[in-house]
Amino acid sequence: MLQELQLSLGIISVLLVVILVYLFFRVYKTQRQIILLGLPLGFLLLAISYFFLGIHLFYPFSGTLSYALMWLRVVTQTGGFLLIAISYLLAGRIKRETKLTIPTISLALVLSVTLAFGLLDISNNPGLSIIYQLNELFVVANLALLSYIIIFLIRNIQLSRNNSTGLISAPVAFTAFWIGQLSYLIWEFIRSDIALVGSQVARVSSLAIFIYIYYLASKEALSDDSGQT
Amino acid sequence: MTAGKRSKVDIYSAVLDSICREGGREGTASPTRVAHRANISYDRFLKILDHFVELGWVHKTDAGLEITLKGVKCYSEIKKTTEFLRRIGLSI
Repeated sequence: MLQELQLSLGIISVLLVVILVYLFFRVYKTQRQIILLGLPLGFLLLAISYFFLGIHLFYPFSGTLSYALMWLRVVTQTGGFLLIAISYLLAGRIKRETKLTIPTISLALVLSVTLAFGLLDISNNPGLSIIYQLNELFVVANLALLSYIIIFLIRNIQLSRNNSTGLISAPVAFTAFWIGQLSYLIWEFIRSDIALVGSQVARVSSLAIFIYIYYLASKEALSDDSGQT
Repeated sequence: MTAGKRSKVDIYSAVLDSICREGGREGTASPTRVAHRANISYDRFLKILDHFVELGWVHKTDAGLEITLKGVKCYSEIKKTTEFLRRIGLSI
């Protein structure tokens, strides 16, 4: 029952994050700012991570394949959060346009991850199992990155008192990610099913909030259009 | 938080917005008024306008400038993405 629930939540996560990757690609394609690259690529890494998590659930333990899946799941997730945090770190500091095309970068990223997966699996090194001990450290790193983004967004709201409409949703979305990571960390220590499912529910909620923010932004842009005519 | 210099997208957005507000949907937008409203020099505006015509976003008519459906869609996309970025705290 638990595995079915996890799988369902995993599939929903992958679907939602793929939609988000597409939306962030569109944003980057329109705005062409180099700092925005971190968003589509960060969410693409998260999509890859959730995909590997899904496979990991199908094959709970099968030696080196399991280690390889776990390594990629953990590293791509932290890499994804890192890229998103870099976008926030550089926001307002760098204003440079770029002609880098998303399909090229995405293809390179996906190929690199596939190659890494192949190498990890072929290497057949029992030392790879260390990832199960390092996992907590990666989760702590994720929490730190997400904390940085949440603090950045809260300061942003404080600074833009005049035009703060709709700014609360993004920190809420990142807080849901944060709760998901914390819940996962709790599961690592006490192995409670509620904590594990809670982490996945929080993640799905976070992704859904991001899509909702895009919907609200589109609605507002459209209402402006009709106001002008 | 944001740097003072406008990006290319900011300028394009300002020009498209000015065309719409100056009667671009009816084909009567005056080029000088659009340049003035968008707060850019007339020379620069003419270069941007040529680029917009090339892209099929704007038509030159006897009565003035007319924004095409493609131009409206593009302007809408810029507004949508700018608003989305503002909402996720990444106004650039």
